[in-house]
Amino acid sequence: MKRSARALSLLSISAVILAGCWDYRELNELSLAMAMGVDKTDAGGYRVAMQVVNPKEAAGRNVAGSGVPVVVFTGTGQTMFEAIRNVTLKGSRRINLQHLRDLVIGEELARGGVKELFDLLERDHESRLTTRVYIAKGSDSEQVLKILTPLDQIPANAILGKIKLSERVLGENYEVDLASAIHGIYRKNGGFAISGLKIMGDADIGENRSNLQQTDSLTKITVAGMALFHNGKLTGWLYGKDARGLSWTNNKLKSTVVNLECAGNPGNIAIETYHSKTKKKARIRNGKPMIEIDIRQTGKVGEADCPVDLTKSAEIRKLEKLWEKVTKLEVEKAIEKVQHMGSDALEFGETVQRDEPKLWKKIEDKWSMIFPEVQVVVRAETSILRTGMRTKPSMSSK
Amino acid sequence: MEKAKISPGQLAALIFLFEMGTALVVSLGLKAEKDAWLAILLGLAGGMGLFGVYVSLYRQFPDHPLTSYVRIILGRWIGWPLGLLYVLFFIYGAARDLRDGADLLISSVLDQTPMIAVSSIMILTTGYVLHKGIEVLARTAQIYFAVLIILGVLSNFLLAVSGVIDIDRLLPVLEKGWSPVIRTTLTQSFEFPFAEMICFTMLLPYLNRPAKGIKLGMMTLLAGGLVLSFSSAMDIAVLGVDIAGRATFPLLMAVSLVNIKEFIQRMDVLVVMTLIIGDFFKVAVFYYAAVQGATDIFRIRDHRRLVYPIGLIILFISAIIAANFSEHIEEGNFALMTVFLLFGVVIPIVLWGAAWIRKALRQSP
Repeated sequence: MKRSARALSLLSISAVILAGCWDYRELNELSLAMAMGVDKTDAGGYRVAMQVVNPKEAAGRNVAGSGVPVVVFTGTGQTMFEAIRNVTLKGSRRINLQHLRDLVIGEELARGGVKELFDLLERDHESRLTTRVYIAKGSDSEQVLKILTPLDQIPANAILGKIKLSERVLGENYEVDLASAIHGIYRKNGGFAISGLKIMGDADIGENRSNLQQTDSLTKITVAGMALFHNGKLTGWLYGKDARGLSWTNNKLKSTVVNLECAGNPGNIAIETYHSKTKKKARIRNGKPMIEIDIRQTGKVGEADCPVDLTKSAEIRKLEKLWEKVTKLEVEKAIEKVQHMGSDALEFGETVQRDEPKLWKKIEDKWSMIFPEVQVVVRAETSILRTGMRTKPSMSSK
Repeated sequence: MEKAKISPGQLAALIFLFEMGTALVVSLGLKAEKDAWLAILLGLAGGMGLFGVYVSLYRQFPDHPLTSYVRIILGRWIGWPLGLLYVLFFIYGAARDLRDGADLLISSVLDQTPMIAVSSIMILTTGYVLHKGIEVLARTAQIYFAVLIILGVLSNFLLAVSGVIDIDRLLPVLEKGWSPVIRTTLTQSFEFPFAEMICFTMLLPYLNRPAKGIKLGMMTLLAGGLVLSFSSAMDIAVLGVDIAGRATFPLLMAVSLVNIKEFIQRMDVLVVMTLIIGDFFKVAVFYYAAVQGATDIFRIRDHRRLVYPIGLIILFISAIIAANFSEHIEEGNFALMTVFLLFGVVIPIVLWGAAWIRKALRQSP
């Protein structure tokens, strides 16, 4: 009797424990948010847009359906949390943030300051610090999220793919995740840079499936420039070569193409960077901080549109010197521009703090004033390792 | 006391898991900001000395647990009540760690689950193991020691491969001088987890080869402290001192940054397992110390009779100890400087002194 009573109680306890998770959520009750956009409302609150996967359409397998692969829901609220919860007024499934890939911030909100933005994303147990951050240049983030993209079904993946590719081969942008955004944005008198996204074409057309049904989509999302922040507020944009100079300074450059003039001849030589590494060091000169930047890069000749004899190592050495000069000039120009904008996106503050902590303690509070005046020395060391599949350019044979 | 023996290797595994316990996952030493790892190393140095005191007491009374040699050293009238206080202290320690584990689990993964569900499952499992005896706990420790090492090596490897470690974030060392480091050592990283090692004074009499066990135990303590220090430095190198300092659960945050080619990611489960394993052993050792102490001072023949009643007490104390997580942490910081300091450091040193005087007096006439 006693034995069976014991067995029975054991069984009933197991039934409770083995039944599994208390707060389980089945997949068919969830919406996976892939990208989130945040904008400011007129009332001073937030408008949050969620790009969620439409599982039937995104599944692929030749079910060329008539629907769209993602759906965008929006919600507004005084706090981010409220805004996200208000999204449920429109969607029928609970939104799950665990797979959030991209966070897009509207330019207007970014100009007003984003310091209030990140607490929720840091505090919430679902969201992750690996989410990538972007600024929607010249538009609301909501519009960016609504554009449908060819090739990659889910726009959130397309955006991430673009930024990664651009970082890897062009170097004018680099991906920024929440963790590093939080460092930069909350640093006192600190600056920071975040990649921009821009809508090209009519945003309303981009929402339609018809946007995908032509070879040249009418509306596209492009990666555009780097947004500079100072004390958590957007202060300006860097584009093209200047943005590349920023990547160089921050050791984010992986590969790029640099055009060199062909000595004495018309035409260009394009150098492909294989590898680039930048080191920043702070020194004290006359009681003031000074930054030394050392760039080391290797590359190969990618294209030579002028008659230059690449079989001679003396020519290669000349090209190396030229490449050094071009790099140095480009980086210097970018630094000057960033200093002029007053945003320490170059992380000079951190460098001084790390290398000269005593000096930093004295100038920490005045850093915003000191930063634009900081003297910078750029040094580049380059080597060209190969010339590709040909030696002499086709142009040299007469 | 049970009729049981544990081997030096088993003791070492228990010490290691106990030391990792909750210390590995919470923000240990982060009040010293970038120099958290230094504060832990200083704490470790203190902890080694303190463990020396425990060992010296054990050498004088190799067959008695703490609660019984206090009676020998201080006499029945002071020793018995002090033993009772120690039992209460162990119960409190177990309850704190149970609460730590449950609260961290809930805030990180099980956000809708009531705490009592998580805590009671944890205490039931520990209770079951302790009911089977110290040998079973020790053997379990050997298995989980290996599991924990694998988890640790794997997490660190993944972090390294993801390229998120930035050693520069640890620089400059001693930016604000020694004083915050020393303050943190004294108020936190010495007591937690090193002064908590007092629990082991209740376990040492079970050692089958004392000399080797003590030596191995000391080495494990050292290794564990180094691991804690390393892991705290790693948290900062990955997250930066600002995010790590704000996080309730820095290790989880750090490992969640693992992302290899958008494919190997969301490795958080490694940390959650670490938390559960560590917390299990921390609760279990405190819990066993309490059971053992109560068995000893109330002269109960079989320790098993006390396992479930004490477990129930621990469970309820863990629930009523604080109204919310902030209060729990605040109270913890206060307790470290008072309760843990008194029971883990002051009283053992006094006992050690008294035992030494007693020995001297006995030899002189």
